[in-house]
Amino acid sequence: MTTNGSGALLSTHGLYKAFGGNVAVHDVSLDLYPDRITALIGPNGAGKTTLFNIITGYERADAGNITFDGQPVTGMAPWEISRRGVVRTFQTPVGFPTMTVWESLQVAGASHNVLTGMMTNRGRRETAELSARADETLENLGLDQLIDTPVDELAAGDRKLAELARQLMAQPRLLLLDEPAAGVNPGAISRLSELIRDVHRSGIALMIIDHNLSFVLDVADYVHTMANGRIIAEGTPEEIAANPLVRQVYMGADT
Amino acid sequence: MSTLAAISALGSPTFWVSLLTLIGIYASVTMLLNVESGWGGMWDLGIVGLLAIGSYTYTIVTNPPGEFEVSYAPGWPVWAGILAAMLMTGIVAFLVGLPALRARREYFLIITFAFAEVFRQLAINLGDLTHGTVGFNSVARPFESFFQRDALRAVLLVVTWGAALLVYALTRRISRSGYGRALRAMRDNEPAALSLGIRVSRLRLQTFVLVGVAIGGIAPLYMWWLRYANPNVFKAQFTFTAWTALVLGGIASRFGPVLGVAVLLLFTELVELIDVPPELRNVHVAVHPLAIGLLLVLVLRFRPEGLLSERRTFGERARRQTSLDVAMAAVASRLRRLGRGDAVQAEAL
Repeated sequence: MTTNGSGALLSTHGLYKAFGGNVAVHDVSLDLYPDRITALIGPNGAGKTTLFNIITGYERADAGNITFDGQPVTGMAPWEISRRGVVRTFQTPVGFPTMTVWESLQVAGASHNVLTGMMTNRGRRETAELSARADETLENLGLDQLIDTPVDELAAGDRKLAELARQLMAQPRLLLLDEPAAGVNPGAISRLSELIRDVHRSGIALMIIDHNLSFVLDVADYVHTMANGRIIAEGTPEEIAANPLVRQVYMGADT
Repeated sequence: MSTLAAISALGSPTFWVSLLTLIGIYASVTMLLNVESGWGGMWDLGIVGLLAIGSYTYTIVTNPPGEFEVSYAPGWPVWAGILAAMLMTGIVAFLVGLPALRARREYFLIITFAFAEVFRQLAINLGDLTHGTVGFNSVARPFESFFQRDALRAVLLVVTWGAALLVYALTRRISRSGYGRALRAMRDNEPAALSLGIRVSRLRLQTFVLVGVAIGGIAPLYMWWLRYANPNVFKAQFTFTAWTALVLGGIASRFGPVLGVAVLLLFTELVELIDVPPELRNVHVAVHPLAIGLLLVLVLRFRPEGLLSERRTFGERARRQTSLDVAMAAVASRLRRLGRGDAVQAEAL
């Protein structure tokens, strides 16, 4: 994996975004390294999801820039960023409700173009290869029993996993997970951590937003803390857990 | 007496040839509407506009020179007329799609509806080209010199259903392809589709143009069946019939559009043929649309997704149809891995 001089896969420099008078993201610069799982924590409204939206092209920053793999990707459309290898998940995993789990895993990676996706022979071979990859991905995530279940009939936790499986089919180099533990029952969290570590071990850089602090501190190697649109602290999970500022803004003033 | 007339109409081959031809034409248009609106989620209420463009293009370029008082009558052969119709509807679909596809759902619906009416008004007002409200009272048909009237009708029935079969094959291919899945993904959840690298705005325009070109190919069939063209033919009624059939048969299913059209048009014809005493004629005419409404309500009450459904079309079977492909791919990848393993071992040795 080629990276720029600092070894970061993705870097943001001075990102700024305001909605009306509300500053959602204020001068955010951070570097994501492929060899560690990065987490982004912060109270509601801290600007975490807005930052994700800017990185993945769903929103345009008012100022600042983003580089991925040494290339500028600022202001690119979401599909373009996705094709470069930056893939995200969503806080509420609606997915493709009219499809089965298996079908929704066939969407990514196939040729979508009206001509190449339909007319050429390539479509068929692609399908076979995609199917094999989908089966393997579902097996790795322990979803093989749900392969023919319609997405809108999945339980909340399974839906999260199915979304993860679907986005993995896009073969990301960097995967941004927006609250992967939300809605997952507490007993399954440790398994989720394990799955996320597996994904990372398979060579995909990861960044996670989550509210569940114990989950984040368990799974992440490096943590950025946001409040009011700014990064207020960063460090290893131990450093973050011990940081009085973080404890104050994130966990309330009861310390 | 009149009961006998109705029965004899049902028994006449001409009646059935004509009805089945019309069903074939509507089925083709509705299948194409389904690609755009059912799978692509673009609610097009102006499908008759594209049909009008195709029909007029075909009729104008194939009319023999000098037969109508119009400024342009090159008298092209039928096949050139078909190609011209497809090309023209494709171009028009592209030009309409550029602005219209910026809007979604009901806004897109209103814009397409408006465009269809604009085309109709153009047909009325560009009299020099379209012969105005009078239109054309004859249309060039293929094989005219080879067959007698009734035989020609039968031949055109076969041609129409051949075209419908082609359209069905096309939609079947789409439904199983990466393109078709991208369409449904985009309709279900646009942000998620984008996050998988689907270029949704281009996909929408491509689809709109594809449907336009195909409707341009169907339009001449409609002209051969109808044998005249004037602005009244292209009122919104055509669009509504196609949409009713689509909802009836099962929107976003694969065979639903064909089934819906068959059920709707047969039902409509039968209601029309019900025999009533002369003093009740007016009531009969008034009740006619009510009967169609009742059919739609009943179907939707007991089968909310239509006679067939998207879930029946896709679902589990979507996976099975490729299971052989999958097995072969698995074997191939195992072999490749083995081959690579050997190479690594050889290197190590």
